[in-house]
Amino acid sequence: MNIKYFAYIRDFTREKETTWNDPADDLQALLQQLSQHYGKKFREAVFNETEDDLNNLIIVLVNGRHVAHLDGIHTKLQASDQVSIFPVVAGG
Amino acid sequence: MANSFQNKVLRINLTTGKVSTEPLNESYAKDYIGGRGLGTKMYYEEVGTNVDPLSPDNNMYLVTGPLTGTMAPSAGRYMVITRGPLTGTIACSNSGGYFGSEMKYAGYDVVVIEGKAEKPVYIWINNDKVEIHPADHIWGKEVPDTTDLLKEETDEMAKVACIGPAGENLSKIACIMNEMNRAAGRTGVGAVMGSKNLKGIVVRGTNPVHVPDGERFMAAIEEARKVLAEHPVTGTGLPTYGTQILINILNQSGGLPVHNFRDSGTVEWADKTSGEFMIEHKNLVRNKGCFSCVMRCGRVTKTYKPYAGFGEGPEYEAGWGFGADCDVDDIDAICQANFRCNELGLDAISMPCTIACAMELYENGYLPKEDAGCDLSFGNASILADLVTKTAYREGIGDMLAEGSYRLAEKYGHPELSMSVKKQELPAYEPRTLQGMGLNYATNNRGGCHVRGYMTSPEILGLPVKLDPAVTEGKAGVCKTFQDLTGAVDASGFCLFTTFAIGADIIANVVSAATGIEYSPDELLKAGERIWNLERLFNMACGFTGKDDTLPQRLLQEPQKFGPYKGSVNRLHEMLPEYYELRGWTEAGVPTKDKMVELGLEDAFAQMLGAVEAAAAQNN
Ligand code: SF4
Repeated sequence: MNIKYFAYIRDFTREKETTWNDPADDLQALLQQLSQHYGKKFREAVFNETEDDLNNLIIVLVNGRHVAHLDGIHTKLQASDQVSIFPVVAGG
Repeated sequence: MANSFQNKVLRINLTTGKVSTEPLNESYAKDYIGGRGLGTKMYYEEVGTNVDPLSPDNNMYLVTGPLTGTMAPSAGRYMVITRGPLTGTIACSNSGGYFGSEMKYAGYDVVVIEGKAEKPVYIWINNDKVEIHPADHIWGKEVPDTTDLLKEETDEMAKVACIGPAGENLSKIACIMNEMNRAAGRTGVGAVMGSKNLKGIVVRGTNPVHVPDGERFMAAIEEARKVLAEHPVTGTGLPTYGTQILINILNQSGGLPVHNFRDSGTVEWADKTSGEFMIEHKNLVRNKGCFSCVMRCGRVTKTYKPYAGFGEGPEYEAGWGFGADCDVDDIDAICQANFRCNELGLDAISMPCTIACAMELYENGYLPKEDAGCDLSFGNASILADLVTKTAYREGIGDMLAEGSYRLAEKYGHPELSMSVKKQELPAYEPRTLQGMGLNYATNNRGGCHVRGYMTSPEILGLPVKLDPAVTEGKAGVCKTFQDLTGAVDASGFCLFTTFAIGADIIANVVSAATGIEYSPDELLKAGERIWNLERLFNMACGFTGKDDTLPQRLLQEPQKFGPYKGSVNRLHEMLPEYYELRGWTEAGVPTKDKMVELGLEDAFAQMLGAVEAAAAQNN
């Protein structure tokens, strides 16, 4: 699975993207796998305190769609999916 | 009672040389707040709806808001209101920097420019001393030199708003620049200034701005400041990355227009032109803010060979325009072209979009090589800065680029290739992905514009609510609310970016505390709605109808080629009827009498009907 990171999330992953072999089949489990790999700061950035939902300050896209319009943290994943992780940013 | 208005209008007639002042009309200020609202109301009452935008009869209003120059955070805006040469609609262009606050300190809420000087001039406003000076020696100079020279001749502490060669040469996409790099960018207001032979306005002020109740005002702005500081977007995101941070998220979301919107969706190389990359590539020198801004989203930047230069920006729109829209992946070339826009006084959205349109005309064989004078193929980074220069001086193909994309594409027989609404170029959000942004573009009173109803916020960024970009249901209501709120924000003097964190409640509280006029959040939105409708009535009196509330055919009919929304078109027809209904307009998009009475616009409504009838009689 290809996973891309943006803005200050890159400070926690120290890479812009990764090819993740053997990914979990839903987003919550994938983020757990990634948190284990990247550590505490990444974990705090992507999860809420109880780790049962996404942090409000994060945007996760699966194949370009905001997971809020899919199944949120329970969005099902396939190995061919493209996952993109952003902090909430804005401009105009 | 003291309030944050200076309660004074400065009027300068360049034909006669007469300078006068008059009190601010209090009832206008109450109903229209200031800025965009007040300027539109004054324009409507004083000029009417049938002047040629580039004639001496077209007045120009520089208007501050009641918060401009106060201690309210990020509240230094001024607006330029006139009839726009690019669109023929009411034009209103907003700028930050320090010019607006200085105007207020000089003692004026509004500066009205009338007539046309016989020869080039500049205006020097030093508190209550106002002079018109010859500017022959400055005419022809670019914005940085003009700014330096005008300050040398007047006061180093003064603030300068001026035009570059683009405005002098009446380019319909020329802007007015203040403090060199801040632009009243859109709708061609720079050409209106040029048509008056007015090179610049220099202002220096030392008067205080008062508020009715200092304690209340400080409490209100403290609340706003705290929310702005604590919000991740306004407290961290914008200061760290600037607006160019949007490139990646729009690209990944499939919302990036590409190749003049021909191949929109997602491009592989977008990250090379992103806000993140500009830090990594050491383009970013430091960030910079406007008057009293806590966010400081401005970027001071430098570029490297072969596109070496130094300046400010680009903002996301310009970065996308010279980037993905022209298929250029070289951030240095993009920045350099943006620097040239600032130096020459060109709108850094309409300029690259017009170039992208020329590139498509060229690739399709509609724009011949002899006319192009260069290889206008998509992706040719080396021609960008030169094309900007040629546009400002109207040299070669630049003469047509200076007219904007619609007139360019029309000349070559393919107006459908202009990605514009009401002849103003569309910004950096693909309406086949962001359905609601399409509705905002189509209905916008100044033509293709994103900042008057920024649907990207809910549709991509999830602020303040998360709306699925692909869905049309419910978009009309949110779009209307955003448009009305923006009307009020633009009237207040606040920067629009504050609204990523603060809403109508905090804004109403700050405006009430500054003016002593009590606005509930609903009344604030009502004022915004009044402003929107007055602009609409103006445009209709000028001959615009509901038929102009549309998008380029490409966006309504050609399926998007790439990205997650591949195959989609914008479904405007699903949103527009509901939008009209929510606005209290007829099915044809005509404001109704009942609604106009509710908003206190019955006189403007009657005038609009009269103008429409007169035009119909003339056509028969
Ligand atoms: S947020 Fe940016 S544009 Fe707005 S006032 Fe601050 S620096 Fe200026």
